[in-house]
Amino acid sequence: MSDQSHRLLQTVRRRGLSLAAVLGLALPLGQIGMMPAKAAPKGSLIIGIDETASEYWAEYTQGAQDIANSLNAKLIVVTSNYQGSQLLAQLGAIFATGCDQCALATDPSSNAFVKAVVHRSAMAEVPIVTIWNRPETIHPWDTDPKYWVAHTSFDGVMSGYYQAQALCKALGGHGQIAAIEGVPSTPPAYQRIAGLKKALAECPGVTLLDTEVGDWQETKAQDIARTWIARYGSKLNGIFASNDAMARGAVAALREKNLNGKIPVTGSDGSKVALDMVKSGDMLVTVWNDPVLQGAVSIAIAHAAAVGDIDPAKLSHAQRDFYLKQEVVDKSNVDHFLELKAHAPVYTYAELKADFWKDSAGQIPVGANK
Amino acid sequence: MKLISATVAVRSAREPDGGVAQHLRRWLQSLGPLAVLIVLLLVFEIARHNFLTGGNLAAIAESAAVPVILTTGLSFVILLGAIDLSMEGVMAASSMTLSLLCANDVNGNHWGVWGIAAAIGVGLAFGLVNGVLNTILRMPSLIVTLGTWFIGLGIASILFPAQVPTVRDPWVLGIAAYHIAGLSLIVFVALLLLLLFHLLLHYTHLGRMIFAVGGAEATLVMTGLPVPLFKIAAFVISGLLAGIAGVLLSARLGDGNANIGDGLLFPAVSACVLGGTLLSGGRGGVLQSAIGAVVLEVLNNGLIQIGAGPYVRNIISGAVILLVVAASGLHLRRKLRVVK
Amino acid sequence: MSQSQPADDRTIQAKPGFAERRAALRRSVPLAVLILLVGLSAIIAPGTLSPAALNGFISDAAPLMILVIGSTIPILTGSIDLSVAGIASITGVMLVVLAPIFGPWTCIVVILLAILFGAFQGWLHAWLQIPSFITTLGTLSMLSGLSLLLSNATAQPLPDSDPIINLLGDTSFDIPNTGFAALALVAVLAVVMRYTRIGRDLFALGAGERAALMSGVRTVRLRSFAFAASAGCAALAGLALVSVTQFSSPTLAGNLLLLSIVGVVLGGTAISGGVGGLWAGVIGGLITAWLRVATVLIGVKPTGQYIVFGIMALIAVFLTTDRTKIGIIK
Repeated sequence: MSDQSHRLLQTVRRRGLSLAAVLGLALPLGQIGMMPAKAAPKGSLIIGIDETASEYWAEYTQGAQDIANSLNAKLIVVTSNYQGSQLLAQLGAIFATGCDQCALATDPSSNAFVKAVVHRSAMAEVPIVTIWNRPETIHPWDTDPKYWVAHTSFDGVMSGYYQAQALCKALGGHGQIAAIEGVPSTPPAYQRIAGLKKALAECPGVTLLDTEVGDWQETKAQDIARTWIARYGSKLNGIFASNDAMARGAVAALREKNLNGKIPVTGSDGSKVALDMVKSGDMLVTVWNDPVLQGAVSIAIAHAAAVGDIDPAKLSHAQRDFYLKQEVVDKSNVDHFLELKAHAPVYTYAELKADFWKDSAGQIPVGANK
Repeated sequence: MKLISATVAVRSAREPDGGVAQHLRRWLQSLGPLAVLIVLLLVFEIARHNFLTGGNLAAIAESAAVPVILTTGLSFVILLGAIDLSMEGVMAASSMTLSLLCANDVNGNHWGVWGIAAAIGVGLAFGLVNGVLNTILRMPSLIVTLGTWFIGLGIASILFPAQVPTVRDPWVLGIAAYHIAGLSLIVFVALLLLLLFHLLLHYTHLGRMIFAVGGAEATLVMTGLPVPLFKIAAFVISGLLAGIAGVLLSARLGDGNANIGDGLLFPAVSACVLGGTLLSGGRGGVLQSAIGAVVLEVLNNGLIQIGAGPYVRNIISGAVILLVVAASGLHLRRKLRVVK
Repeated sequence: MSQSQPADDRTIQAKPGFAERRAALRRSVPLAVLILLVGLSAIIAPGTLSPAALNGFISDAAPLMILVIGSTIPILTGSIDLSVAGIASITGVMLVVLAPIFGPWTCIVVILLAILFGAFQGWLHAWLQIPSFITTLGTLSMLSGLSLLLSNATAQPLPDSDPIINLLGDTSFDIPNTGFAALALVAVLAVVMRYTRIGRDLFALGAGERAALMSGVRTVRLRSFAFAASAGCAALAGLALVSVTQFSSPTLAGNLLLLSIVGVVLGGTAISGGVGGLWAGVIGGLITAWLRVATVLIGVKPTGQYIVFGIMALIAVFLTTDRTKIGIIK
């Protein structure tokens, strides 16, 4: 028995040591920033974003933070990592503790989760504004209309159209291009390709050699572009990338062959790197979607519904399902946008409240999300 | 005495049933993946006549360079019979470290070569943690490396500044920009690492011990050899090479990216198995795994070339992996073999 | 995945009373971890345990729990099924595609198809002796390609009147029916494993395949069963997911694969096989589902969430792994 207890003691000691090691690992966690954790205070603003390590989402969060600061409210950020089920679970955790006069603005991460996210928010009586993803068949006015205040996005068809028009012009109306598409199940991905096709129909001299899916990712786009350069050689005159990250990948592949700046590349979003590349000539154009504005407007509208500044039932369809304005950035106007990037305007709730739809580009047309 | 039994363990691990016919068969078997590679190249050449051009082969070499480095590291862990799932997280952390320490457009750091060393060091540290958690704290490698995968992604997202950091360091950019005979330095780095770790695996004590651990760990433990050290070494090699891969990928993109390793893990594991490195450990090698990686790149490149859509590409590559692995193991089927 | 070795001699030598008590203690660790986690969150964020909150939690956790329970079965035999999330995703897609043909029977047909597919992949793995890791990795890639192809990569609304989906999406006694579905699944599987040879043979296979083979366990048939069961559970998890979303999508289940593996291990099931069980799957699923929201409950900044989740999972695994029954840790 003494042998046994000795063994047990040893086990305990060993386990104690390793526990200490684990605790040593765990303690620095305190540094990572526990925010004072209580039930969400009255009037909190909640945003749901796809990832933190992204310039776009950092700026979106900045816009929402501006509004929170102007209201002296708390901003709660949840990250889905592109997983709708993760978003649902995390929202559930926040709503669990009760949330009075809270407001939610979120990307539901994919069309499939829109209805569930809206429903979850409605159950908690939290007004919600969705961005980017909405299935064609459901709208704020027909699905939980009391709490789904609005949906807002950027016009992907126009974005693709602007890009392809610029390519057509740069190639003098003659040439062959290839397109890199985003994650196929997301509206911006197929909208931007639809815009590309629309522009090409008006520019018969330019043909589409190939389309590949790059899943919005820089590295995938780089591999695809490298394969194209090997396959098509001088037949490839331009690359259409559905977002800036993939445009960066395409430029990196061109750089490997010293072709950057010689074969025009287009993108969309208006990220800092893309603006720099437009300035240096590595990229032809990008389309400026202002995430700071998007963050500010989307959470401000949700908050307005939460405190009664607007009544969803009295809003028109154009106010509940709209695009925000976007602009083409080329070499001629890039300095203006670089300046905007460096000194983004600070939005306040009071200022937006005067007209929440000041920067609207109109109602989302029927069929846009098909 | 210890040495003798260790040698026995090594032998029993590598040659369970000797015989000339067996040797011949094993030799033929190791040629299998190479044959698959040649068949694929021929099929695509027939399907598209300009497949085997210098330009396209160079493109394949560029795409295969990083997967080859990753499978080389992974092979060491798989030879133990363990697994390392952390590479995507490690690459994210190393890419972010590199782009923030070398000259960039976000902060004033200018560490130059030391930045590269630090980024590789991050990979090494991850390997060390994986190895220690697996051997000293006795936790299964699958779950340990799953945890550190998340931690790597987390470190990258904490380090991420408000905007994508663009690398300006000429040393780092030079790795991707400098070309010899139409191939970037990345390809040569991959070849060098492959050769180096091939030699390490087959001509050093450590290499032999890693084979032995994979073949008969229990026996080896009884000989009193420092088995945990060998295992930690394998994890460190895997982490180190993932760190290097993160550096090379960032050099090629010219920026730091937290998603840089996305989608590289499962192809790397498949490549090891395709090449004939057994997941149960003890058999295989870095060269075989590298061939597996090249097979997958050829398949991917060829399917893009013949214009197969991205969805069909998933289906075909899954089927090819299954077919090749099934075919290469077919002759072993009749034995009383344990496959998990 | 790896060969498991005979039990450590320490457990064999220990006196029965002592060993039993220690084993019972060890078995209860995952449950203790779960209670600790829930308790801590309740202290930090009161309101977590309100009925409304718990119901939300159950409906979010049920698909994950069902996946974990299913994944446990192949892992008990020492294999692993990486295709579970792929099957869960394609379930929704198939539901939309097949609804015009099978009407109200679509759900049953889809589950049966999944079971057939699982049995086939288990047979492939056992009969051709391809490691399960690579078999299911290959099928995972094929499944994701197929669901993208079938759905044309878009999210589609489910048919409104499917009786089973409506039932799963509903509540009984204010508790989501998906929670009851998970319990019913455990009960059915527990009966099968308790009253047929299958249960014993599964553990025998996981503890030592050669010995099991020698003593007449029909490994090919058993493996087919294990993978059929996990595929069937995955399909059920897929149905539970779409009953919440009301939309199908080729990427619906996304990263649930990784979470389900974490869940299996957290319940105390050994990844090398032979140790664990259904109950472990339930507890492990609950712990994982809780870990997923714990970062939000205790208010970790979004940039820190990955790290905190990773470290908490490692600590939980450290506490719940029963090392006494596994000689060699791979």
